[in-house]
Amino acid sequence: MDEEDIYTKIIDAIVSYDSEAVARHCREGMERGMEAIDIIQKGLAKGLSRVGELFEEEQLFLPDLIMAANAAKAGFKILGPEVSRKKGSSVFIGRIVIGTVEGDVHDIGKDIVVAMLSGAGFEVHDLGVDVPTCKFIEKALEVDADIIASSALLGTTMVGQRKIENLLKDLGLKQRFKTLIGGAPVTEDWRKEIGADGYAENAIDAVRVAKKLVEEKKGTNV
Amino acid sequence: MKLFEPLTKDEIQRIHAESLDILENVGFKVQHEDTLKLLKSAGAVVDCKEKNVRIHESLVLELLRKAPSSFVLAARDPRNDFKVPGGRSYFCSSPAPYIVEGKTARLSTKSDAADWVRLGDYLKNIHLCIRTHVMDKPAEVRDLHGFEVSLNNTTKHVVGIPHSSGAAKYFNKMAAAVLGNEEILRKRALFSTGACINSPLEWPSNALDVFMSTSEYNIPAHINSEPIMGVSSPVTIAGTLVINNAEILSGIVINQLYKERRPCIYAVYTHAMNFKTAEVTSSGSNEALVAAAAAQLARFYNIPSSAWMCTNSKTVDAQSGFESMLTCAFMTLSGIDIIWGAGQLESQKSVSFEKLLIDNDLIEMMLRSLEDIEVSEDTLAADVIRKVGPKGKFLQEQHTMKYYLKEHPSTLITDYHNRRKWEKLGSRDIAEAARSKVEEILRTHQPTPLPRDCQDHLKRILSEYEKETLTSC
Repeated sequence: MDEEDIYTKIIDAIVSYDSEAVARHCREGMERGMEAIDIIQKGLAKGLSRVGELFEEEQLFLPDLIMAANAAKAGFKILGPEVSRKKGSSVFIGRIVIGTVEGDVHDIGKDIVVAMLSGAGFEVHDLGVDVPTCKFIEKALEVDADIIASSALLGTTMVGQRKIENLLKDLGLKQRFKTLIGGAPVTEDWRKEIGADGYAENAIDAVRVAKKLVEEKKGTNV
Repeated sequence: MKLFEPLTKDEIQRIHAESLDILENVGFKVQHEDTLKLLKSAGAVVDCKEKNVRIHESLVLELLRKAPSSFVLAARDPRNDFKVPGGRSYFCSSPAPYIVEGKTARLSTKSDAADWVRLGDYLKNIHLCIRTHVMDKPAEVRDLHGFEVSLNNTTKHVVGIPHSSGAAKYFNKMAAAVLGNEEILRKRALFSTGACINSPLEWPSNALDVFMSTSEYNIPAHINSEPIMGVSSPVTIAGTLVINNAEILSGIVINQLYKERRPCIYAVYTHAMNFKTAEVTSSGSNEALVAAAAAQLARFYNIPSSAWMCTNSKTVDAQSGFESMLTCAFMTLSGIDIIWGAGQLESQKSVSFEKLLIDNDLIEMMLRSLEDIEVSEDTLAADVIRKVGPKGKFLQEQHTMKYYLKEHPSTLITDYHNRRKWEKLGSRDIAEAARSKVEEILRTHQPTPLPRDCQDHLKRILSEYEKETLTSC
C-alpha cells in the first residue's frame, strides 16, 4: 500500500465522517514515516473540500457536513503536535476569534461555521453569543488572531458588525486584523458599507474566504 | 365543525408528562436576574450560578391555571375588537425586513410600513396588523417608528414588538396616548406583544425585558417557541412538541409571576431545516402538523393558540399559493386561534403586497369551509324545490339571493371569468390582478386618522425616545 492509498482512505473516512478511521489512518501514515504536513494537505484538507463540494451539489446533508468536519478535527489532533514539533510553529493555517454580536443570542449558524473552520485547520476561539464589541478585540489581541469573525441573525443587531469596524479604526488596529462577517441579513453590500474585509454567504464559503484573508494578511505582513 | 386533531388523548398526556418532567428535572435557563428572583421566591429551584431553573409540576400547573382561558384583543375602533378563542381563526399580517416586487426584494422603508398596515386595515380577513420593518431608520429606534406607523394607519388590533425594556416603556406611552390615558390601556390593550425563547430552553434577557416591562398594563403576551427541528429541537415531531410545550409553559409561568391573570398566547412557530440547502423553512407539512398538534395542546391547557401560515417561495408563484394554503388549512382546521403570516414569502424574510391580497382571498375560502353546514327547514329548501319542480330554474327565486351572499365566499381578486373576458381584461395572472387592486386600495383607502393632537403627541414621544436612545450609544 502506498501513500496515495493512505490519502484516499483518509478522504473516504472524512466523507463518511468516521472519526476513528480518520485517526487510525493518520497514525498509520505517521508510522510509515510520511510527513504530517503532507497528510494534512493531501488527506484532511482534500477530504474536507470533497465534502464541501458534495454539500454544494446537494448530495450531502448539513449534519453530514458537521460530522465530517468533526472527523477531520480528530486527524488534526494527531498530526498537529507533530507539525508543531518539526516546524516549531503552529499547525493551524490561521487563528480566528469568532462570536455572535452584542444583543444577538443566535448561535446555530455561527456554530456551524466554527465546526467547518476548525475542521479546515483553523485555530478557532469561540466567544459564544451576545459578545460585546470590545470583547472581540480584546480576545484578538490576547491570542494574536489573524481574523475577527462576527455573526448576526437580526436586522437590528447587524450594527454590531459596524461597531467592530469602528472600534478597530478608533484604536488604530484596522490593519492588524482581518474582519469576516456573516449571518442571515448580512450581504456583500453591507460588507462594503461598513468596510469589513470579507463576507461569507455560508459555512463553506466562510472557510474559503477565511483562507483568502489569511493569505492576504500574511502577504502584506511579509 | 369537527376539528382536525392529529394527537390522541393518550399522546397529549405523554407529551404533557414529558414536558413537565423536563421543566422539573432538566430545567431551563433564565438570563434575567429579576426573573430568577421571582421564580425563586415562588418556589422554583434556582441555580444562580448556572442561571438554571427547575420547577415542580404542581407549581407549573398552579401558575398555568392563573392564565386566562379567553380574553379580548382590543382595537382603536371597538368594532374591530375580537375575543379568543372565538370558535374560528383570526389572522395577522406578517412583519419582514424586505418587500418583494416581482422577483426581487428590497429593504422596507417607513412609508412601506405605513402602506402595509393600511392595506391590512382595508382587508376584511386581517384582524391584527403588524408593520414591516422600518429599515430606513437607525436600528436602535426602528421598533418605535414601526409602532407609531402602526397606530396611525389602522383602527384594528396592533402587534407591537419592542426590542428592549427601554423601548417597551415608550410603546406603553404611545398606546396610552392613543387611548387617552394609562388607565384605559390597562383595560383595553390595543396592542399585544411577543418575544421568543432561544431554543432549546433558554430565556434571553431582552425577551424577558419586553414581557416584564409590558406586564404592568396587562398587555397580552405571545409566548413564542421557534425551534428548528433537528437543530434546536429533536428532528421528530413528537420530540419537538415536547420542547415547544416545555418552553411555552415556562414562558406562561414567568408571565403569571410578572402579573397574575396576564393574557398569554400559546405561540408555536416551529421551523424545519432543509439539510440539503441548510435553509430554515416554515412551510412544509411537518411544520403544519406541529401547529395542528400544538392547537390541541393549547386547548388542553385552556390557553389561546397561535401559529404561522407560511411559504418558502421567493416570489408570488404557485409554490407560494399551495404552501400558504397547506399551512393555513392545517391551522384553521385544527383550531389555531390566531394565525400569523398573511402576505409573507421566504419563510418570513420578506412580504409582498400582492401576496397579502391573495392570502386574503385564500383565508376567505378557508373560513367559509370551516363554517357548519346549516341544515334547517329553510336551507333544505324543500318548498323551493317543490315550487321549481323538474326542469325549472332556481335563479329567479328569492331563496337564492337570500342565501347566496350568506353561504358563498366573497373574494377580491381570484379570477372567475371565462377565457375571452379574461383576455379582454389583459390576460392577467393573479399577481398582476393583485397588483392593480393594491394600487387602487392604497390610492383610496384611508383609515380614520388619529386626532391631530394625538399624532403630534406620538411624534413627541418618538423624538424623546430617539434623543434618549441615539445619544446614549
